[in-house]
Amino acid sequence: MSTELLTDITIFVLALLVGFEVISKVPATLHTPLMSAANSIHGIVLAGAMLIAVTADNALGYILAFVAAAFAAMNVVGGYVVTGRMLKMFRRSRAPVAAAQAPASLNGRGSGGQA
Amino acid sequence: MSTFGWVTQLLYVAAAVCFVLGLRLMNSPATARRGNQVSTAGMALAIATTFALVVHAGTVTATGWIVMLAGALVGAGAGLYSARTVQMTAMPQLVSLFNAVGGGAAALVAINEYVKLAGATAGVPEATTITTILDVLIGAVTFSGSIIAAGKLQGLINAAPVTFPGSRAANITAAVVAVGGGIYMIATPSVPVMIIIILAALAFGVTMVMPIGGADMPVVGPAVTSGRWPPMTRPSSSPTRRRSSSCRGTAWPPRRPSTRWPSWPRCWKSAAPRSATPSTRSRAGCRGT
Repeated sequence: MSTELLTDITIFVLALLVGFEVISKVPATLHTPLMSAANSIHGIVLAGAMLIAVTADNALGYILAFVAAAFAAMNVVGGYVVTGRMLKMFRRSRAPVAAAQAPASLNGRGSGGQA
Repeated sequence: MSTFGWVTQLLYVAAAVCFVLGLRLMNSPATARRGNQVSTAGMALAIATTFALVVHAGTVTATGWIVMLAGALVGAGAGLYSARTVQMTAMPQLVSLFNAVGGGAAALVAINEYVKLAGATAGVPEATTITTILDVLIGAVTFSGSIIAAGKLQGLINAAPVTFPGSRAANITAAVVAVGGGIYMIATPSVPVMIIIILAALAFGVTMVMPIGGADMPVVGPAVTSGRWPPMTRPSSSPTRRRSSSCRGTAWPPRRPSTRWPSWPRCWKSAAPRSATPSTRSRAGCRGT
């Protein structure tokens, strides 16, 4: 068994525990957005899809790279946008629409209501 | 390891930290939005790092660039459009669909890598074989299972539990073939065997999800997501449980606060009465009955 494989297994097992710990206390109301958020993290496979395009040099490789990149990008973008939409519904009618249009800025507090 | 390698690796670690913190912030509705933003930032970082890595490698052909960028743009456009336009009531099926394509992408990446290495003279390293097998199995089950789940939620497939004589045996056979093929592949790397286990895993995903009724369907999402297998879901929601009665109003609302999906229409639509009977979504899921 190679060192590389052992390292991978170690990371895998620890990540399992981290994942379990992190989500085990999430309240029921947030389970659906949580599912969606966890799913969009899976979109990290887009990195893998990009990396296979590096070495692709035949038709099969190109087709696989294209489909994989499209699938993964759909997962990432769609996943985060859908999660954002779900979470937006949690805002009680304090600042109805005004803050909703500024999703891109990470610094602007979405629900701060400072306009 | 070169400086560039160090930096990219550390950036990946930072992205992973963002993902964990993002999920952690999901613990409360007050911070959940921030959590999603942190997670998004982590993803942007990871993708940017990978982009830098690809540029740095410098071996990408022109076709490779076109394929990669076109694929990512098409996928991102499709994801953005569907996520923006979908009805709130149809979101679970969309999440299920995203889940499916994510699993499919993972499987395709593994297939590509394996086929390439199998063609090389050096052969396939053990670590690659094992990760490929896991990736392909989980990815393929996720793909087919989530697509069936999305179809059921959308009403395209009969939402009632679908079984046929021997369906259980078919399910077990598919699982045995997939796992057995995987074990064989560890001993003897082989591309045809990989294709067989992909087909078996796809079949397993279908036979696992078809017997599940529409109301239990949202549970399937997490169950087939990223290899979180049924044993890790709550006992009451194991796939073998039949709940064909779930479309009747009498089954609603659950006696005690349920930790499963029926809780979400209550909290999302604060205008709706607490004891709301099946939402439009669950009715849509029951169209076939």
